[in-house]
Amino acid sequence: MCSPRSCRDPMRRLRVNEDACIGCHLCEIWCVVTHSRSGDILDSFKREFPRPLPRVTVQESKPVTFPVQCRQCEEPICVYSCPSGAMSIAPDGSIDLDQGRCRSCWTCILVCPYGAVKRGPSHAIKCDLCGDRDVPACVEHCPNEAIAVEDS
Amino acid sequence: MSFDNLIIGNSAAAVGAVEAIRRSRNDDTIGIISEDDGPPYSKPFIGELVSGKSAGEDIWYRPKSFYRENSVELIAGSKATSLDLSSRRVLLENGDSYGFAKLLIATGGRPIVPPIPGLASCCQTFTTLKDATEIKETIEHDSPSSAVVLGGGLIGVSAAESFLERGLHTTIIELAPRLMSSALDEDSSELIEKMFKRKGAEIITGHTISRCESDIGDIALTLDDERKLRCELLVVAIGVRPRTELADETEILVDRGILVNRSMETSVEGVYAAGDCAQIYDFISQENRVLAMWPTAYVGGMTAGYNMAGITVESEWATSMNSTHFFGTPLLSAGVAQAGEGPEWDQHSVFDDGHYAKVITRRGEIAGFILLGDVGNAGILLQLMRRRIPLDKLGKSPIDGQFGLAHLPPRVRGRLWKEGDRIVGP
Repeated sequence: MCSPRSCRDPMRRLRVNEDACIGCHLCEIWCVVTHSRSGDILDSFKREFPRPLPRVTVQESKPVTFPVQCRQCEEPICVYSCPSGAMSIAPDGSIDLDQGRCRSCWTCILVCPYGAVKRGPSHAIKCDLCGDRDVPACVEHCPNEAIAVEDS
Repeated sequence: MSFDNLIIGNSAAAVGAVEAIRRSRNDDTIGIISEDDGPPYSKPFIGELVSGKSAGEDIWYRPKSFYRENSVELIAGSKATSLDLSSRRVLLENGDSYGFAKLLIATGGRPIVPPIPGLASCCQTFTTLKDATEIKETIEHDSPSSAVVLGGGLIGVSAAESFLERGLHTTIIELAPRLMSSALDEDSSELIEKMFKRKGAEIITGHTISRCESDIGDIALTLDDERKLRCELLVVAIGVRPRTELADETEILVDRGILVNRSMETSVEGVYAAGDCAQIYDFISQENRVLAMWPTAYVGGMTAGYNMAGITVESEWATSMNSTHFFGTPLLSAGVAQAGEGPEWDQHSVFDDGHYAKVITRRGEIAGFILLGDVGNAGILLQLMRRRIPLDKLGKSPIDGQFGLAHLPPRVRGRLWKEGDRIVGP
């Protein structure tokens, strides 16, 4: 027997160090590039329409800045609340959003405690930990290690 | 036959319970008694089946393999008719009976059809997959040109939206002075009304139907002011009543819905209720209410499930919530829609180019909000509401377009990071 929280292992999530963030927005830029069709920084910003939306957003109230993206919650209220069944807990413990099954009711946006789910053109979007990439793009490109992968 | 866990009902609350029992690594037996044959479907989207946005296959909430994967025995196509608490058995319409150690009543609600002369034989309801499939077939086979929806609440306006998208001339009749009067304030209700009028809908508020007659697909309505209307499709969506009948005959305490505590247990030990049939603690009104919403049903069922599996948890997550969109514009709200009477209440709203944002406070704490258009901060507002963070501690008005987590004082933010995802707990 286990508690609702200890039932959630393994876990793969991102850890953010607020003090290390310099507010450069490179995480947003590389998130866009990684989720673009071309994978190229100039093409994805200049020639792809609609331009992919970043799944991480830098929150700012100077001098405070920090990136916010899906925290792969231990108790994922978005998964519990999604009326279409588009959201689920993946085998590696991360939170999966099946865009094809999303019916854009935005219940996930209403319940996400961090405002980490965004409205895409026809479905919700959120951090997918860069899918098959070993190191997520935002982690790789952060110049000051403000974002790190945490496996437990 | 007997189950460790027996569930009556086959929608969000039932799925929440099954997933919590299995997530807690409990392999006790589970049985589900369902009136439908199929896997659970996404009730909030049946309107998209009617409008044609949904092809039908995407209506399933969980795959057909859900029962097998979770080792659930599905007792489908039969209705539970009575509950014997002394022998702990549920009796079905077909004469079968099933025993249980723990029971979850998740029977949902039933649409109300008011006793208006002629109405029952002219109208259709709009709450089940069967309703939506029948209406879709009527639209496709008989090509009606006009529809009337009685009821301007969330289900009514969503039905009207799907008729408008099908090109039907659509009229909404609502007895209250405005649309969605329980979920919205006057300003946001007016914005929704304008959206519907722009799409060609006719809206009659402050009135109801006094009688109706039908003659082979042609329905003649008379309103309470003797006005006459004709249509080919009539949908009644004035509300849903909790299906409490199984509990009514027993010692289980029932008010408007089946009364439950914060573990979702009824007044009888080992018997739980969740979803639209239950009357659950609302952390904003601080009393038990019927909160017929999908997330509330799932979280309620899940809370019941953990307790049924022997893990004692409580949840204080529920309050009134709405998430929807009309013609592409999102509308998210939670808690109360307007300030109450008295000096402890206050409200602020921002209206800007089709966007509307409102926050209501009670004793300085957020008691509700409405966001129309720009909804990005809804989750943070709900979180601040749950944590009872005073508005004056936020550093910036949460309905200011620039507001974000960075504006929160470090201590408040630290608390949100730490506790944000706590939904159920001991």
